Amino acid sequence: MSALSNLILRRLSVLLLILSMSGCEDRLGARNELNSSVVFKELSNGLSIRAYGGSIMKTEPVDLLELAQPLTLRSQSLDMRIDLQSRTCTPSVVHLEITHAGPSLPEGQFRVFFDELDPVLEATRTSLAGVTQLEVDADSPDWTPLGDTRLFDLEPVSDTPRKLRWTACLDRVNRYAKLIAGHTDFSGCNFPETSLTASACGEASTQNNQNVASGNFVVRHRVKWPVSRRTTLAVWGSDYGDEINQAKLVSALNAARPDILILNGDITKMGTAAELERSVDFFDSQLDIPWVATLGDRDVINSGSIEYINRIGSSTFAFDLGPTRVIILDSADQALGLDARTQLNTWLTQSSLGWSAAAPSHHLIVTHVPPFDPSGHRGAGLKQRHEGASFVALASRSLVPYVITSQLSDYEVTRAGQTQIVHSGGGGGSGGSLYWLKVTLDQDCEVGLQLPCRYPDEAGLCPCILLEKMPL
Amino acid sequence: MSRRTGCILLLLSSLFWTKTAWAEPARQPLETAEQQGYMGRPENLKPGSLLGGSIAVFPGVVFHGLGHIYTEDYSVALSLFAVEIIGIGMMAASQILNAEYGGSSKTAPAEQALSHVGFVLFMASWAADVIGSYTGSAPFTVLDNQANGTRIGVQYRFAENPLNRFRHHFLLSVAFDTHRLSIRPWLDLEASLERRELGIEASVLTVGDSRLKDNVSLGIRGARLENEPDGWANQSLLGFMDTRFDLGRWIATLKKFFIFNRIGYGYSGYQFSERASNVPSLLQETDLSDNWLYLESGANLALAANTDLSISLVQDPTGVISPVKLSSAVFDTSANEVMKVEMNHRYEDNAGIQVQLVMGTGFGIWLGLEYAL
Repeated sequence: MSALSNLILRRLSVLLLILSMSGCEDRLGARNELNSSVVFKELSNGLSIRAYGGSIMKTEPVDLLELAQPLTLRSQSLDMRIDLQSRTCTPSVVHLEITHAGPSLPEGQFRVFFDELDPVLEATRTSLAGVTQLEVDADSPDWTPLGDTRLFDLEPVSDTPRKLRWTACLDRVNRYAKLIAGHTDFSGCNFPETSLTASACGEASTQNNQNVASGNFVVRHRVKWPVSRRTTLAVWGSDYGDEINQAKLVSALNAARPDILILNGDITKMGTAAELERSVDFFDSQLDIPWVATLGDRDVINSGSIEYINRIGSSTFAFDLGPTRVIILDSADQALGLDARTQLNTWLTQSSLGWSAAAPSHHLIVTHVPPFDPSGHRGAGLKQRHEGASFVALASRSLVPYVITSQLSDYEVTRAGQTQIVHSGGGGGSGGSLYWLKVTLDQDCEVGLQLPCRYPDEAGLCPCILLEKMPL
Repeated sequence: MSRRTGCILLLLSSLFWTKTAWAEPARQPLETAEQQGYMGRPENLKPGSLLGGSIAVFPGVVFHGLGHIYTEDYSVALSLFAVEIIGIGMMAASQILNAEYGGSSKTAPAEQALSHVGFVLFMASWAADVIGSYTGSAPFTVLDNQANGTRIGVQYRFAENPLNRFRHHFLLSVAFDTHRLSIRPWLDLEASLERRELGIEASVLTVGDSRLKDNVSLGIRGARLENEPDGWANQSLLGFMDTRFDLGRWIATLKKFFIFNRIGYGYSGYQFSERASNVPSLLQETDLSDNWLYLESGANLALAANTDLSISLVQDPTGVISPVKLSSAVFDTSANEVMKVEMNHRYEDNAGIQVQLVMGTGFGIWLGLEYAL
């Protein structure tokens, strides 16, 4: 009996050890999954959506025969790509809305595709390779274009935050797509007569079966805001949700009018969903410029670590501002993780963020937790120094001029190889000084310093950067 | 937060449960034992109690000392409860410092030390209550004499760390031990040789006669680590002080139950390569300097004359397994630690087996063999 009980206890202890080891720390993986979930969503009614430069926020599926499908996206760039796909035989009406659109009106472009390559077109292209250049869409080379790129109108809505709305009418059977400013119902789409009758329709294939018409019908949208040759970013963090300090910041930014505000984490004190909601509502209602946000270590203490996805969207993303790529990384767990570093490497080495433009000349990384704390014994940097080293080594050899962080309130710059780590919270959350960081990117180099960059322009020049501490 | 707390409690309680399984005392009829010289329990020693130990596990996890109240050791129970309160107070103070001065370099070391020590006091007083009330006043086994001489060791390590891609490691070490001096060079190679570490640790027994008893040692550890895929290397140096003392000095039911601690301050110089998949040369200029605090506290007891078990909390930002918020599971602070469980078994004075578990962000398992030359 004693031997048996010992055996049971031994087995039980091993089981508990395994359970303890495997279940105690998976927040990093959980947020990676949440972030992935707002990039692509497949709805049960035959529609799917993929977003670049923004997060998919609301996507309740509806019966397409009776209602329009609402889709809400949060803008996280000044050049968004939205691929709306249909594999259903039913004509679909989709009400799209982009929030946090900012005061200026973007240009809307769209093009229609089947998401498989026409075998005839592919064979012709192969046989004529080197002789002539057949038309291929550079941004979707594996799809068959069904028409030219066209413009469409977006309806600005003076709400808080500012929104843009339009309606996409899709009919896969008849290869019909129509985009209308504002939200309209079924009748406004003017679908072809045959769409409304039960015509023969093959279900979309998930494999390339040499029949292009069996593929998904895709409407690719581009929503692009104008960007001048000199752009300014505002970076702010670690206000711990202090309403007075947030009000001072908003007042200053509404006067200074930078192009975009990056809230670099710790906009709550204890990371509750209520705190996060209050801060987000405040910036939504008071700020006149577009803003994006990532998380700080305080924001993930409580339910904010999950609720953030419904309030700020993905906490890791990148966007291009002219020749500069701004990369926002979630380091709230005092860690990046292997997946995030792999993604970072892709953003640093490849040009496409949905659109095949020229490679950005240089990159800025914005993340809450610095890879290394200047006072190392304080331990405010990444919790494993070797990950910090891998991160900085990658940034340094990619000639990233600045890694801007907000974990520490007071302004300080430290050098790590070719990269400078900027410690700049500014939110005054821990009793530090109150300021915002103004980052000016100037292609004409009238202001700022010309630092080495990875991909200089044709003249061999890099854009200039100026960092300024703006006291409040 | 509650899930993490649950995980830690499960883990620790599971370790205590294994004690009876591992100890497996030989059972003989009383008469036979008395014929062989068994004198019975002296009158001044208290008996252990299974029920007392169980009460100490729960509800004793909330009120430390309940197990000793059951065994009528009221002064020890009061001491354990006081230590629990002190531990909670230290963790609470750490949280207050974190909330009020979260970004201050002046308060952060104190905040981390308070969290670390407070958590260790809390867990140690609970463990002392469970073990002490279960075993009674009978002292734990004492390890054989300190092993001196030269020993070589080979270890395999599996590391499941989501922050890097290195999983399988092989370590080769040599220990040169005299009565006072200990020198241990080691080589740590990842299976595909993409991560390589060469290091040496030396320590001097400064106070005390044996490393197995109450003592204070001073030491230094130096290493060079190369990470080829990510293109960096570092040189690090850690100065440390080890202390070890017998809790039985103060608690009669915990004779030969040792508390140990290592506190150190480290420096690292990092070199970055201009290319990935390349290691900077040894003499390349340092691109980044860093320093850190090392804190390790834990408990150690001998399960048999040649087997000992240690459990400790380690704050080391340069460790193989990335740390996680353990001591701050209840009171949120900035401290990050791993939990380490280690068992060593010696076989006939010339061979040894080591098993080590480290849990943090992911986990690592060390399996090692040691042979005395």
